[in-house]
Amino acid sequence: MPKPPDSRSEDPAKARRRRGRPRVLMANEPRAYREGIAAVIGQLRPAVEIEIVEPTALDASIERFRPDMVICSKATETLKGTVRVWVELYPENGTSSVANIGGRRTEYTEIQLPDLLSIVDKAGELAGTN
Amino acid sequence: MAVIDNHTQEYSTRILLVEDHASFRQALAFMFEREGEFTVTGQAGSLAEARAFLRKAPDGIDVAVVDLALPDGDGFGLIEELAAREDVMTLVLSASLEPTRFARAVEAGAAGVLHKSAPIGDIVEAVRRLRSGEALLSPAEVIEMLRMVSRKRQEEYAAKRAIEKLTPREKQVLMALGEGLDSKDIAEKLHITVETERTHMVNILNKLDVHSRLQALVFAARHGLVEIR
Repeated sequence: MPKPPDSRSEDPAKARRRRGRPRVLMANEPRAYREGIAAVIGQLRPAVEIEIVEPTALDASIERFRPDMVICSKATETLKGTVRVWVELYPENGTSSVANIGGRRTEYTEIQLPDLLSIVDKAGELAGTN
Repeated sequence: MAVIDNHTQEYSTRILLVEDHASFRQALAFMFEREGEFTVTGQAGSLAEARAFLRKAPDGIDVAVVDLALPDGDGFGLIEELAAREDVMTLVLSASLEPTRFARAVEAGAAGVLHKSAPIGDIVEAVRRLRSGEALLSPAEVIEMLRMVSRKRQEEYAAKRAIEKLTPREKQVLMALGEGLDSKDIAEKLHITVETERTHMVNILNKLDVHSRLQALVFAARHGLVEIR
């Protein structure tokens, strides 16, 4: 179920409560990838709050869900401007992927599931330091 | 490629995953493994890896989940090899939107085809249904797919025959058309008169059984006679 809309400026107490509980937004194509990878993250990183949306809802979901990390197939300007950690997973159904972690860009020729989990962990660390 | 030798889980369904997107393949393996009734005995990112697995563990799988677009070719040949094995079923998982590719997979021996836009749960359920003896495709669907492949083959054959009828000069005219040149420019390029160019074009249209320059160009591009840049 989609979460209710958050206000733009998060309440400091609420932010403290969710500190250490990073939010990951999954908006990549195709659906089987999105759901499969989300299921693994959910099971292996139970503290992570995950939301799964259609790629077309990426920008609106960033505004509403305020994720610490996004996995998508095509990074939008809104994403690049607002989210510190994101992964462009298999853009145009290719084999390579790109990760941005706090402004540092890393290219993967064949990204593995442990790489994604490691990026989730880094997103959690960055969220905790805010 | 990963191989798991697990004789103790003789009642679980043994699965080979053939998929070049490693993070998805690993997630899919995780999804199957957590169900308890499945064991992913092999993971391959290419046809070569899949064939190496099958050589190493020839009786190691019950179901193969195969992507069609792999780095070293499409999966149709592998599906045929798997279909030749007793008690091995293949579920094709593809991102392709071309129905003829699914149809070709069925013709090659796939027991089921799923698009990657399907929910992840449907993929797990499809393997479960296959193992329980349920058909994922109705006879009518299989017949329609086989008809589709047959029609496509006939079209390809007819196109090949039409292309064979073209003279080298007519092919040059088509290639010039593919460069975006009009009648006058084609004539200049090939050092012929505009009237001769038009005669060539009429002959091309007749041989390809199309009715316009645009249709001829589309035909030529579709069948690799010209490359549109």
